[in-house]
Order: sequence, then structure tokens, then C-alpha cells
Amino acid sequence: MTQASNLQDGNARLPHWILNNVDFERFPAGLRAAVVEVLAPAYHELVERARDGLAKSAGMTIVWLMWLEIVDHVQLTENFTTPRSVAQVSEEREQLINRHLRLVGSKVKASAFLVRLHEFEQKHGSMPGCSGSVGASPGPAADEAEEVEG
Amino acid sequence: MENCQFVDQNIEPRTKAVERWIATHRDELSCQGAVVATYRSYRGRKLGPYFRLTYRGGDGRQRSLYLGASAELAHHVRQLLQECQADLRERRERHRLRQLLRRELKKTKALWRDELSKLGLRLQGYEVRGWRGAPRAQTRAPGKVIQSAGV
Repeated sequence: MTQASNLQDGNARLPHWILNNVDFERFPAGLRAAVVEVLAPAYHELVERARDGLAKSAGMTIVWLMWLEIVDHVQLTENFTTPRSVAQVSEEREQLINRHLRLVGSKVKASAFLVRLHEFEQKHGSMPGCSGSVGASPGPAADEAEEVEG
Repeated sequence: MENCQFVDQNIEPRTKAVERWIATHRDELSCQGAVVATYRSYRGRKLGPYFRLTYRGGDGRQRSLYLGASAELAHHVRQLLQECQADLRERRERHRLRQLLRRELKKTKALWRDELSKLGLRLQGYEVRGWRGAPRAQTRAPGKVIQSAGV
């Protein structure tokens, strides 16, 4: 509990499972700083302030993807700074970069959904089926489909 | 009667020699090696502990460096080993964290999938699909509902 309280920054709270499953003392300083400065505010913004279950679950997914991204950053940094043989480094580095790009791609896709959901909510109120149906859909494909049909 | 005090008076040179030895074997010790305490019995009495630094050589054989009975030296060598293996421990911790995060991500993604399915949407990888049969169709375009229901 003390570990978490040291890491808490203002109103930003850490994801709930961190207290039970992760020992922060064993993390490198860079990773701990990233958790406080990047992850905790993101969790607050995307999960705690989410209006409904859909936004919350999508937000949670993005937060875990961000966690993995930060861990990958640390690993990539280590890979780039540790002196090793060229053949060993190039293969491993290629794998790491590919994995990292896939991860970033996934995060972008999940974020795009959340952005679309927010835009829709600003335009029409809440998403139908979540709370207070307004009879519209955030998907551009649905708009196009109706235009074609109309 | 056993002399419980450390009998080797030249601990300083021995420490220096062990430090030099560790420095030359740093690569080998960066991912393995431990200080172990051993005991022996003499006329029914248990003597020790006597410390050894055990490691596996490049040829795959188990080897050891005798440190003597000094607990102080053994502690110092343990600390040196920890320094050598710091990167390894960090890598293991990072790997453990990554596995944990992937498990959590899987659970969260399942929740997200459930929430989307309530709206008639589905998750393909990280992309949301099925907008054509989404809630708009249920309320505004009944024709679409018929199509999506396959009637």
C-alpha cells in the first residue's frame, strides 16, 4: 500500500490490480516514472471517467496496451544500449520492433474506436443500447449503408 | 575443539583475489552462479559453514571457487554476484510483468467484446466490426434488421 501511495500523483490513481500483483520496488526507475506520469492519468481519464461499460472496457484495453508499450520501450532501450554481437542484435531487434509496431497498431485501433464513440456521443448523446438510446450509430459504415439503401 | 574464529588472517588479499577472479569471469557469472554454504563432519561433529562460489564453466561442467569460512567474504561475494546478475533479474521481472499484462489484457478484451456484442458489434483483432447491423438499424432502419437477422 505504501508503494502505491508513493506513486500516486494528485488525483491520478493507479490501476486497481497493481497493488496485488506487481512489486514496484523491483521496477527500473524509468518504468516507475512512466507508470506515474503516463499510465495513471490515462487510467483516470479512460477508465474512471468513462460514462458507460463500453467506453470503460475499451479504455481498460487501451491502458493495458499502453502498459505493454511502456515495457517494450524499456526492453528496446536496453537492446539498443547493450553492446552485443551484430548478428545476435539484428535478429532480436527486428523481432522486438515488429512486436512493438503490432502493439502500437492495436492501440491505435482501440483508440480510434474510443474517439469515434466520443465524437458520436458529442453529436447524438449516448450510444444506443448503453444508456438513453437516441437511435443512431457511431459507425460511418452504417451511415453509408443507409444512404445507399435510401 | 574447533576454532570458530576465522583462521585465515589474510582476508584482505583473499578478497582482492576473489574480486579479480569475478571481474575476469563476469560474463559467465552474469546469468548464473551462487554462493553456497557447505558443512563437513569430523568425529560426529558438524563443522562449517565453509563457503564456495559455484558456477558452471564454459564446457558445461560444474565448478566452484573455495572462499573459506569467512561469512564476511561470502556476503561480499554475494553482493558482487547480485551486481553481475542485475540485468538478468530485471529481464526476468520484465518478462513476468509482460505475461501478467497479457493475461489482464485478454480479460479486458473479453469484457470489451461482451459490451460490443450487446450492441450487435464484434471485435476482430482490435478493430470493431459489424456497424451495418448496429443499433441504428434496430431503431431507424428495420429493413437492416431483417437483413442482418437473415430473414
